[in-house]
Amino acid sequence: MHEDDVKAGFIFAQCTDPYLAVMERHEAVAHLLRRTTFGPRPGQVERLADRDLGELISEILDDRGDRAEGAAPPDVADDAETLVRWWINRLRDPRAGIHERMVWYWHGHFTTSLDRVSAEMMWRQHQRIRRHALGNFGDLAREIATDAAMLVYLDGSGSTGDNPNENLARELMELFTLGVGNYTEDDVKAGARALSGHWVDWERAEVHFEPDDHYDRPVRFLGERSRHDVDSVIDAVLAQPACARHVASRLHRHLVGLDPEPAHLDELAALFRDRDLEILPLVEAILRSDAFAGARRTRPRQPVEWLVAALPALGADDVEIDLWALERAGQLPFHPPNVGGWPDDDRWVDGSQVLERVNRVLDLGWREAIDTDVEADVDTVLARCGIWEVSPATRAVLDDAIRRQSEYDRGLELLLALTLTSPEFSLA
Amino acid sequence: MISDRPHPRPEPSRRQVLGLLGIGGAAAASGCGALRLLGHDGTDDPNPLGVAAPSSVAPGRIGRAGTVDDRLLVVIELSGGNDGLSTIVPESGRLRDLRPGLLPDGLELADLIAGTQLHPALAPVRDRGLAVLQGIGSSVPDGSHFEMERRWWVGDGTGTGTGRGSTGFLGRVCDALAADAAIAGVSLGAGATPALRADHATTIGLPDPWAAWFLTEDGDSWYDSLRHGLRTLGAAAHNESARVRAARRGLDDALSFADVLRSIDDEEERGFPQTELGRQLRLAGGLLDSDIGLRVVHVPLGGFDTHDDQLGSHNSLMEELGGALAALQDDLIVRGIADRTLIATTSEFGRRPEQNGNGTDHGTAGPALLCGPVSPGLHGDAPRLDRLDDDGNLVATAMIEDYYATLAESWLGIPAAEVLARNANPAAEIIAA
Repeated sequence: MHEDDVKAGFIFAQCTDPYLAVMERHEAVAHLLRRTTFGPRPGQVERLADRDLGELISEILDDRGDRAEGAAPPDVADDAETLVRWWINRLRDPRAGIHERMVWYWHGHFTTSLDRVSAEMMWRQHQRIRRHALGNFGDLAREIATDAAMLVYLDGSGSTGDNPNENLARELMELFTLGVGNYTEDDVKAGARALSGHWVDWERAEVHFEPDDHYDRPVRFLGERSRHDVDSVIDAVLAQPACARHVASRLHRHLVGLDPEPAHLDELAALFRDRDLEILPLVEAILRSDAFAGARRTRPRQPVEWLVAALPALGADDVEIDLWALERAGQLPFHPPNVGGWPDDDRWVDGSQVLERVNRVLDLGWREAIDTDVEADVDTVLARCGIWEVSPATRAVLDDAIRRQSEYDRGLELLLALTLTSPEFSLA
Repeated sequence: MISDRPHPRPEPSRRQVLGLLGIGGAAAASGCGALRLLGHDGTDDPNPLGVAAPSSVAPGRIGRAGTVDDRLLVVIELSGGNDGLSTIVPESGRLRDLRPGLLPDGLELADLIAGTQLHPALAPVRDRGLAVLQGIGSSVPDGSHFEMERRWWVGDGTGTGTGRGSTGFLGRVCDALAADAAIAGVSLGAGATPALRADHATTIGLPDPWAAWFLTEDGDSWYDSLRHGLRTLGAAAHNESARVRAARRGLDDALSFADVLRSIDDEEERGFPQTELGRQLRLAGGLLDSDIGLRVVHVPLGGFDTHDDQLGSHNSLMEELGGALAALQDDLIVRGIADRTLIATTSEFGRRPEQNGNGTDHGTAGPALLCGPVSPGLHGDAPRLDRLDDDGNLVATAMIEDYYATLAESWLGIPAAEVLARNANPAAEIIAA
């Protein structure tokens, strides 16, 4: 859909050249940070601007999520709010990097909602995702297939050989591993039988396998007739060529903002398969591709991403997040709208998002939190928001706004309100 | 035999979770407070009857339809796959065999016509005028929520493409009816929907329509500067990518909607139930009654994916639906626009006739409810329970396109070919001409 725009390089030129002009280098670093962290935070781009981009990518990828592991785990005790706030604070942590981004991604991929599971179950699933976020996709998929929260969310709990529930088997193939068109309705029915026999103990947030409830006769699943169980179902799914393609394509869309070109997807899928579905090499291949370097402002910031990036720009590092505002914006963490998660598309820059975002900037607590030492100057505000390449249209608006309002009459607040709702900041 | 069967599982609804978070009530309060800032003084109310509470109005049926040129459409999307067989219930021994203990209690059913019954929670809607088109689905059904939602949104029953770019069916209706209106179509309660994507018309989706309050502040130069800046940011510029254009359009739509919100009065309860759907339909009545050229309102109601605990959850969904629908029917009468407003439901698919545990799996065909100036009762043919397809699902007797042609051509006067890719047979007799 937007591929032509990338080729044409509209408004933001492709830049992978190490001898870039100063502003272009700043923009290249900002682009990288926008996609691999929840920033950039004020001052961060300036500090990294003279670094070699290739080395910077290596450094970004050298993150196993242990940078902030000193943080205490949440005291969930069936309290949804504690868990939501705990994670948001991890996202806001200046040390949150590619590992946290991938935890964020997998939460949207292997979706489960607190609407249907307990906080304890969700926390256990979240720990699984944290462990494997940059590890092996097969390991992650296998653990998720017998995860209590997932079994409850997709009705795998209590699915028996006599009454197999199709929900988990269908979404496992449609959304998590293969994609539509790469399995049949018979595979869904067979998969449901093969996955049957699990019960979730709600109180202990644990899964029990009951052999008597498992369908133990042979079924034909993805072409192979045998007595299937969870492991053989996962093995069969992972072995499909469609699996590497589907996962690589979804991750590409998340990191790049666009569907991959078919030839590029072939390369990514082949690499992913050759590396036994290890996630880190796939992420690295995407980050080092020309498609990534050229894909400036091709990906709408999702509401949580927008908020976490906007807070430091507003000098609001200590402000507590308004969870209801995130819910209204359509993205309360651990509460995806459905099993499809939160798609990377234009919905995040529509009129309703604009209204919510201006509301957030105008929120009284935030206004007072804005650092009064920041100069009400267009370039200062743009840099503070991590924007180093600005369209003529947006610059004209900001120049005009500060002329109309003057720096002394809440000019800084006006510049921030307009910059944070501009296409340059709404898109990453 | 199994000692550790799961405990009865507490399934908090979204609203309960938000209640736990302690944030639901605050938002409702801020919504009301915000609306008082609109400065509405009631003197320009175009409808002198607007002061009467609809609950005091005896339910009346809507008569014949008003002129086609200014007709309005409200679409309520029952997302998750509504169990049509618990909504419009055939009096069938076969169904009782397939659904032991899972159908709404027969004694409470209200007769619709001979041989078929209605979910009791929909009785107030029937009393105000309800038609049902039966058996709507696809000739090549799919079991995926996402595939079938997408087909319904874009008006592509067979999943073979519409040839209309990324537009949705309701978006194309807006293009045909009101390409120049400030806002031609709006979705309330869940944000933007692909169903309303248009080529030319302005459509917007709002999870919280009251969020626009800040754009209605008058007399403060700072807000004037903000509005001016946002409006200019929203103006299209040359040589920009589709994403940047989408972002600028979002800014422009937000300002258009704020203009609309300024023009309506939303302080009264007007007899609507205190449910999320009731809240959105109350606003829908006000928006439809305003003078802004709005023609289509879309409101989603989620939770219909009843794989488990179907009886309880479907009953409460029917109660939320029935209560809010009846209130809207009354409100439209009070506002004097009932004769030109059709309320229609959609759902991505029905559910499988044979139950699975205490729920049902994804099915195929299902009925649509139509309220307004309609010929009451059942229309079309009921899918046959004795001739299920290979997956044990109902075989559709009307195509998605047939239903959409009914809405577009028979109701709104738009030739079906203008908004649909395939030939269709509108059920014209549903409209009370």
